[in-house]
Amino acid sequence: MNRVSFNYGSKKALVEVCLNIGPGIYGLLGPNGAGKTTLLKILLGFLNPHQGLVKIMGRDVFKQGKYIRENIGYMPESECLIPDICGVDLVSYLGTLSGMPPSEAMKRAHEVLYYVGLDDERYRMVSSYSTGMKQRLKLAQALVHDPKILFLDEPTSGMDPKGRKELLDLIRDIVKVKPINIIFSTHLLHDVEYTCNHVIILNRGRVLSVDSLENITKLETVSYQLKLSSNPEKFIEKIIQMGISVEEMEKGILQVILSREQSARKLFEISRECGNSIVHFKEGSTSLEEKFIETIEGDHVD
Amino acid sequence: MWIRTKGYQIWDGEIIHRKITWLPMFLRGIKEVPRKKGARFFFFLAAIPFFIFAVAIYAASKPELDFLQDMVEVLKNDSQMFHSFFTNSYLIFMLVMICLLAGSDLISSDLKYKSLPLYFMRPLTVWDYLAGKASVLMFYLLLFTLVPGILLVILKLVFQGEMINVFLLGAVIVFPAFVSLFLTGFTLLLSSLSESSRITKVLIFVFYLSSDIGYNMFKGMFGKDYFAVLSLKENIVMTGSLFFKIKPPHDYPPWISFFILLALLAGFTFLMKLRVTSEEKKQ
Repeated sequence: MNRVSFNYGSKKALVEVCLNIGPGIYGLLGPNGAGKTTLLKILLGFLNPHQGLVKIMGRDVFKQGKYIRENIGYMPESECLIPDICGVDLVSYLGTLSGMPPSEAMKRAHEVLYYVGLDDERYRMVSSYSTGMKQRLKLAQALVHDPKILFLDEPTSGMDPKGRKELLDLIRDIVKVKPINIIFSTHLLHDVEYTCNHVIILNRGRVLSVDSLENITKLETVSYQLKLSSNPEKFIEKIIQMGISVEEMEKGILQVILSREQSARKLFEISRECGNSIVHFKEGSTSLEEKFIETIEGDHVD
Repeated sequence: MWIRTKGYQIWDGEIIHRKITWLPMFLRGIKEVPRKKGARFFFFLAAIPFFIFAVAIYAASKPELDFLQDMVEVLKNDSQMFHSFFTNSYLIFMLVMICLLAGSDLISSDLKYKSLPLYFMRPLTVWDYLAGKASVLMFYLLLFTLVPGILLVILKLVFQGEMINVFLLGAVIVFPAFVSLFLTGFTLLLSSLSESSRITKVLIFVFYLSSDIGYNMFKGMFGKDYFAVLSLKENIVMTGSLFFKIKPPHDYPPWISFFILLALLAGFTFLMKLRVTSEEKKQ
């Protein structure tokens, strides 16, 4: 995407967005109204940007849309399934619309339904499916023609924790088997942390950050959670005097944040000096959530 | 980790670049319609005019069947016969009923279930989508207009030994195609206006009946025949008289009705495209 802008009337939905997406799973993060859905719709060719160029696989989305759509899969957020048809017929029908020969589409429909765990329910009418089953079916229809790029819009929405993990595992598994680009739009940061290897943070229509998950969560500080054997007041007083930030959490656990240069060994030394000992010690990390909030809050553009 | 034992399988087949990208929509659509409640009964009712005309053609070849000779009157003029067949009030009413049955939910159900992205993420344009939907209704409208029309031509050849002239044959093909196209545009536009197929059905029926009521009301009030341009049915009848080159039933040139239907069809198509495009962007 090169300097892509899109407005809904006078409201700017995307402002000169530049994105270059390579193989892997990209998490598209942003608060409500950040422009995630607009971005996906432009990538899918549903919306024509007012400015800028959008290319997928080196081809213009709006001039060579048909070619691109043969090679992409899309799992929409909305419950968009045709209800009066059974699962296998729906996936096969949508496969033929993608250009698959009918017999191959049917064979492949059985295969992807088995893959997403709907093999026992494939002959049931879609209208009788639960929310989780519908999410899996939406993934199946997006995979039926074996796309090169997959767009997932809130894929785990409405799923129970077990089903959610299973779906995320499926997404991770696809990347292991084939070189595919996945763009995963969600507001569930845990899903991004679990699945994605790159993160795009979007706010007020602008891309604030595109980086690998590893880099984005890389720490300038390191946090530790620890618990002392007895009253920690002295310990807290001492480390505050040293300019180290500390926060008391539940059940007597302290969260201590050290700079990269400071060694954790120091905490043990201070606790000994205070006549105390550390009975629980765990290295924490700056979570994506913290980084996300920090990035969004740091965005002050009028 | 939970992963199905086989893992993700790569599909090694080839995508077909179909010239008619909406063909799967057509094939699925025509299979779905007969499964609808009352579909076969309506089909039977819609086929009745064909059976009546077929019996009349047969009776004309058997003068000994005295009791059927009243029916033969209509066959004296080929153009008149085909005009009567295609524009009789009963058949037009049944065609409207087929529009209700086969066409009212074609777009409205996609709007209701927000399934437009399922189509437009695939190599289909809005025109392909509309063509796919239109083809389903066109199929059933032609099944009860064009197909019986051609069969009547064949029956005439078989029982009376005479082939109709080429221009009339052209009219037998083009007129039902035009009427079916018009009714398809009319139905699909109304189907795209609502998420409820029931509302679409009501709209189709109300538009059809109110146009006829409007014509009769204004004709009654002002005594002018040209108010027939307000009626969908009368415009179809007048256009039929243009195609079959017979004396029009109303005292104004039949091409006016033809152009009214043509303009309405263009308007329906334009509005339908706008409506589906705006829904595509929303969903």
